[in-house]
Amino acid sequence: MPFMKGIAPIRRTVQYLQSGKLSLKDRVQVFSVHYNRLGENHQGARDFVFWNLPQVQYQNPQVQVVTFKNMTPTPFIRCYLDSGDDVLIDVDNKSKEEIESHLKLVICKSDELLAKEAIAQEKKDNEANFGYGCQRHCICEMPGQVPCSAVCPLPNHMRGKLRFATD
Amino acid sequence: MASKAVRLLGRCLPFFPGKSIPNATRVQIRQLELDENINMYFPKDTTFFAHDPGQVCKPGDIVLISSLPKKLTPLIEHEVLKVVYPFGDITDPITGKKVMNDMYREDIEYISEMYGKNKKGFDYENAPERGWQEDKKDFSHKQSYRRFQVYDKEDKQPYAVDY
Repeated sequence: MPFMKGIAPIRRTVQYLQSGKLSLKDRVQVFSVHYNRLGENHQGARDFVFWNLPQVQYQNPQVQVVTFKNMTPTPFIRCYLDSGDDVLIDVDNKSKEEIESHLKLVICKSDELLAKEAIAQEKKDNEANFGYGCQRHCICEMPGQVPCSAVCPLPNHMRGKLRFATD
Repeated sequence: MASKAVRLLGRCLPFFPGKSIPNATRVQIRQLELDENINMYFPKDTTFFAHDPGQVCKPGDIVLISSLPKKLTPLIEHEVLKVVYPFGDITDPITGKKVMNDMYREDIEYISEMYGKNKKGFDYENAPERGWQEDKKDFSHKQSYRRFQVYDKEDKQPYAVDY
């Protein structure tokens, strides 16, 4: 771990950032956390911001992750969706683990959805694949392969209907 | 497929000296930027002009802005959707009560009553709306200019701004 400076430098490792469990739903555009510097009921929120907020931002680079300090007596998390609504999550007196598990239930993608997306991503990642959902629809698009029979008819000796004609 | 409107939460800044942009507020958006060398997120501020025809935003308010599908002017690409937390008048969304920092206003009332209410103290109930001195004593919402170099003491420039 290079540059092992600061409090809990483990938070600054790529493995730690990638191991974030909170992958927010596509609808979420802004993820705001309100907490105070002091107060026992804010301790869970403070821990969540300290340990998990970089992970949330890493997993969701398109979401604006913003914190507000010392604005209200009780801590809460407010997510603004693209439909105009906002999701208000009360985290008063909750521990960091409780907050994380609650968020996972409420505004994160489920594990099944994440697995499906990983498979879809794989299909996209492997450029050699062709077909539905891939970069190329058919192998005939590649130079060096047999051209598309819709554009350029195959020679007669390769066409089954002419090779095996009985008349 | 049309791209989704991007919503952002930001803070209203005072007007922009030197350029008069009607029906727009300057909004500062704070986003986290990853420093690749130490893998740490640092806040980065960007300023946008948001279309605000009713002039509902005042400096210091926390507002939700949304990107417009088409630029209104070369400078205005966003519009103000709503003022989430007006400056100095925050309503706790959980309880719906008015708060000041880490206390409910009713608790502050109660405590001040216990100690003996200061007659000169700020009265939240009867205080006028923010902006009541505009055009009378407060001219900060109007077009102004950056303070010219002050060469002698008589040059007061009361309506200049220093930023």
